[in-house]
Amino acid sequence: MTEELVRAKLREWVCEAAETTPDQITDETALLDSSLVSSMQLVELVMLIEDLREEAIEYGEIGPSSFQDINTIYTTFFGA
Amino acid sequence: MKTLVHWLGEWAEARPEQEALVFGRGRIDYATYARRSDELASWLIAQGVEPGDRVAISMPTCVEYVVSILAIWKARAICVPIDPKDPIGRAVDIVEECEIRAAVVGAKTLPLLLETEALCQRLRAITIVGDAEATKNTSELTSFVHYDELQDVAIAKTMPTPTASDIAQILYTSGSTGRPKGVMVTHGNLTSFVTAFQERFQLEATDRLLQNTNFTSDISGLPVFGGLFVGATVILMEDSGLLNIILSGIQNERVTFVATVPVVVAVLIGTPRVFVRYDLSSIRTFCTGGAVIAPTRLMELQEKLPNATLHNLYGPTEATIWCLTHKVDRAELSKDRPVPIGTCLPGVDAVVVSPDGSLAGVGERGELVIRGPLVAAGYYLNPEQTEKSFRQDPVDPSSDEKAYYTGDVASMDADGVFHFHGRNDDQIQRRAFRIELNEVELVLGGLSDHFSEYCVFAVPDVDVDNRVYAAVVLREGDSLSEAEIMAFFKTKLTIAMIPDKVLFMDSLPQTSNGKVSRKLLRQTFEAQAKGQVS
Repeated sequence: MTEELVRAKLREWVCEAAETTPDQITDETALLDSSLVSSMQLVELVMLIEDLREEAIEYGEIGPSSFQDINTIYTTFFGA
Repeated sequence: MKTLVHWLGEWAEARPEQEALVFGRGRIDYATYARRSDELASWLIAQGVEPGDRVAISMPTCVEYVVSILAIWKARAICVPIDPKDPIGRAVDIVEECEIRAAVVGAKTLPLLLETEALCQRLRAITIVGDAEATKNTSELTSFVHYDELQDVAIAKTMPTPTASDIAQILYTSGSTGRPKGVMVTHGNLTSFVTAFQERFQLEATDRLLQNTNFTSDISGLPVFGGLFVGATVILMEDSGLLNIILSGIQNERVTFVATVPVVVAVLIGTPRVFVRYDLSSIRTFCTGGAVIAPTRLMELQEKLPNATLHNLYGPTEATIWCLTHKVDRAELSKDRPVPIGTCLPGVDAVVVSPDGSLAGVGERGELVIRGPLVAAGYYLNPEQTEKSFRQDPVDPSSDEKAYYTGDVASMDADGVFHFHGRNDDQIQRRAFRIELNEVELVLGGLSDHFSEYCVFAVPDVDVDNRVYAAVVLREGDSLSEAEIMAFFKTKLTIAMIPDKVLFMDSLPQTSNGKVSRKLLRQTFEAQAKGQVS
């Protein structure tokens, strides 16, 4: 899956979760700090990331800060 | 009465190779658990730690945490857990009040500790867990040892034996006067708890119990002490705020016993896909407690986990972990009927006391009072608060044993089952901790130069226990922001105590006496929220 497609899927999910429209968010928009995404929704987001990666996340050092914004999510879970 | 130190030693001899503790890839058996705790206890004793001394543990969840608890007890000292995520000022207060001279700390916590003069002056013996490089950056005033070096320590030929009346741990909880209260839990309390819990729940050595709550919360004691007491395996997981990690751990480690807070159940039910994604079929006992749970949540959970028995638990820290339990009967669950808090564990007694001090009749509401072997020894160096809550036994006033007055409003039905009806003060339950709103408000008062009025209040929320708000009226011309207020909270309060939001208001509702009314404020807020929804 290309980077552009992954980012598009993540944006689509955030819009749905936050009940907002694509023009209201960017890849730098704070997701948790701004309460756009709740900690409850984080569970669903992690499963989406695993679906897009087609493999489970190695949990190790990750925490809520790994989900700061779409850029951080992409770098943490899809970066080289 | 034999203490947990004795029972855990028994398992090390009877089943040395049985897995005791698991944390990620770290696994130790009962023999290793006993040996490592002997090594640390020997080092502590060699550093001058004596029976009754208070020893702090401040590090994230790890196998070494549980080893350290046992080691401190083997030195007949008292364990004082301090959350490394707490503001440093709170840690200093606890270290000073308890006159702590020895500690086991995580490598990441060490730099902060060394930067804090008050802690450097006080602590004389520190064991470091984690990155070995941390030992290179230490102070000359203090003896340091890295946990891995303890294997070279000579095991003490004799170690003191703790007795049932010895204090095992001091657990700090929120205090209404702004001063945290250190609950003194004895070895007798802990042994009585694990014995009573075992009698009712019949755990087995093949059980695998999940421990994912913060070690500063007493409820971590159920899986850890309850599991180790029967020679079972305790699966440790960090309280990271990411539920997927827990669910993945339950699946991979085939966890059989889960005890958690209602907010976790709410997240599970709110995300039904987790039951497809993660295999949770190994769970045979699922307990929830620490806050009120909606019956609908349990009804849905029972559907998702058909092979598990569900239990609702009740218990304040002052009555040692859990003292009442209720096995949920699928047939009795109804959305209109709150889930009972149940019946007393064997050997424990609870009564409902009317405002005039007499025992309440069947179905009558009053204050829930806990009697018997789980009642803690009071608050450390706090006779005033101790006398307020640990009082004369309402059933047997001639008894020397104190009863614990919980402040919770309850009733008992004709079957001896207790029902919870809320609080009679401003304490709330949040993320496995009891929080005094007055303590949060006193901290907010540190910024009172900016406010003409301020108040902290809570709104019950079925999904997150309670939402906490700081309502403020800024003085004319003042521009203090929410970010600045929240940053201030973070320097003073534990994570569970920090309000969710700051509300900037033009005025706050007042009582007829002209005092800001927390109750009216909450009602106004709830009415406005309801209006917005409709």
